[in-house]
Amino acid sequence: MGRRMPPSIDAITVKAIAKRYASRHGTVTALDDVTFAVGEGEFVAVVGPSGCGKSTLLKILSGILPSSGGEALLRGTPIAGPRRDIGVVFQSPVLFPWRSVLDNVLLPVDVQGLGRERHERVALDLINLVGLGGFEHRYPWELSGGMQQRVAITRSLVHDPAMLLMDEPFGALDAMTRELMNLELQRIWIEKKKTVLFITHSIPEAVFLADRVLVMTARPGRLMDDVRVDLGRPRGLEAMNTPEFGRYVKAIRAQFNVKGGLDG
Amino acid sequence: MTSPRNVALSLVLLVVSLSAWEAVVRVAQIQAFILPPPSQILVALYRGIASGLYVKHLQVTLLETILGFAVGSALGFVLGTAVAMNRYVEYFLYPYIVMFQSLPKVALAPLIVIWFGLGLTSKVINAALVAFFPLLVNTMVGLRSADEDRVSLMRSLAASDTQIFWMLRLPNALPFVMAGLDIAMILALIGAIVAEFTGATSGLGMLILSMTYTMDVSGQFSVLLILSVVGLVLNRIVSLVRRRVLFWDPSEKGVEIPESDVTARTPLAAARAAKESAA
Repeated sequence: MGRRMPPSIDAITVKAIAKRYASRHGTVTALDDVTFAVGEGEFVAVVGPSGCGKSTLLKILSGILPSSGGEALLRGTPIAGPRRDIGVVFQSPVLFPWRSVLDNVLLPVDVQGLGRERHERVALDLINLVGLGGFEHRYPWELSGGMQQRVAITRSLVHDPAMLLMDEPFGALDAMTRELMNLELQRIWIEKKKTVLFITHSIPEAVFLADRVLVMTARPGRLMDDVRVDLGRPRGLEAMNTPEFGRYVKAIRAQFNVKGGLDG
Repeated sequence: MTSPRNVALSLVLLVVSLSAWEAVVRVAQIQAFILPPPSQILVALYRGIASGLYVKHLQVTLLETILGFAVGSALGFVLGTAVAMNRYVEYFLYPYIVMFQSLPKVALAPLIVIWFGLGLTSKVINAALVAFFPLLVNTMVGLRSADEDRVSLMRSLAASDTQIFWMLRLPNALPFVMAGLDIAMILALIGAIVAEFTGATSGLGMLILSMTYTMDVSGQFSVLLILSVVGLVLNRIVSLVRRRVLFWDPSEKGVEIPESDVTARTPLAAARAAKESAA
């Protein structure tokens, strides 16, 4: 399928990345020869069954896990450890309970010594953007799951990173909240123009959010397809009921049925 | 639970049981050196306090307990941190710590009195010894229990190990440390009293022992009453500090976590709510 070729350097370039673990039963290949590129400002989703190495891929890109082969570049420079120009959102909100909402959001600012005074305004604006205005001095235990995940997204944006890496950020939410969060994320993405790599095992979620959907297989994790989603923006929830949307979902799901279906 | 009715009831219960005790001792003519009646204990308590004798000895025991608690828990915290954060310290030191931990520390009291004399030092050391282990173990467990996802988050932000320690591991360990302090406070009091039994020139423990020689059982009861109040007050102080420090820990208050997301003030949520109410 179609692949956009941006004129400038790609935001993310992954060339023949592999990851192997040693285990008691020999070597496990989590990722095998994965190659793709994400353009600047592009929203790319990665779908695949559990154990296809999606999360491993994200850990390699965020610099907290070394790869066993191949090359990964962010804006043309090889990844040699954690970087300050990315924001990461995990499946769970991973908030610090002893920090208020505002202080949680300012965590990257504190860690990277960016100056609280300058970023407090930014943080408060972002808190308003995600709809948590008035909650900045509350503590995580006072918030619902969806609200906590909004805090996590705000935290990933506060140091103005060029790209966001999101690892099934809405996987733990109920279906209604999840749809709402998808809409919110799209709105934030349109407003902030970040490059996003979004990992999920929900095909409709991937099609709804992304410009491109990368389809992965499990054991070993390989890239099977790269589907360009040509649906207008902003997409409303009703877009999910259109035949076009259905065709994308069907086409992607068909690839898993060949391999035995999604198990996650 | 604390309704005026229940408060009144528990007061009545107290008065009834004390009266029963008084009556049984008087009717059965039990000797005062076996079981004194409550009235005699109260008299002994009043005399002891009025003469300044109890106050003097209480000050000594309190000082021993608090110094022992402070020294023991500080050392326990520091060593616990070292063991949790450094593999070499753990490898070379931990086996001895485990061995020493299984020893009943109060059994060392006679030895410590021989080494450090009858004064304050031996009591503080004994109290510190027993207060040390809860802090050591809890600090170790607390520092190591930092959630892997939180560590990953810090690493993804390019945090140094020092930053991970101060911003994540240490605050994460606080509930454990505070629980350790709770135990250490009571243990320190036990340590001080046992050391006073072994050999001392002052302190409430020494007072109890000297009352044994004169068969002053009502005096002993009155000192026990003071000791239980002291233990209660010290424990309360630690609990108050804990609640202040761990204001963020839901287990400290039993709050309800909101279920619904509707309070989130987002344009979309508002639009949705408007739509739903219109429909």
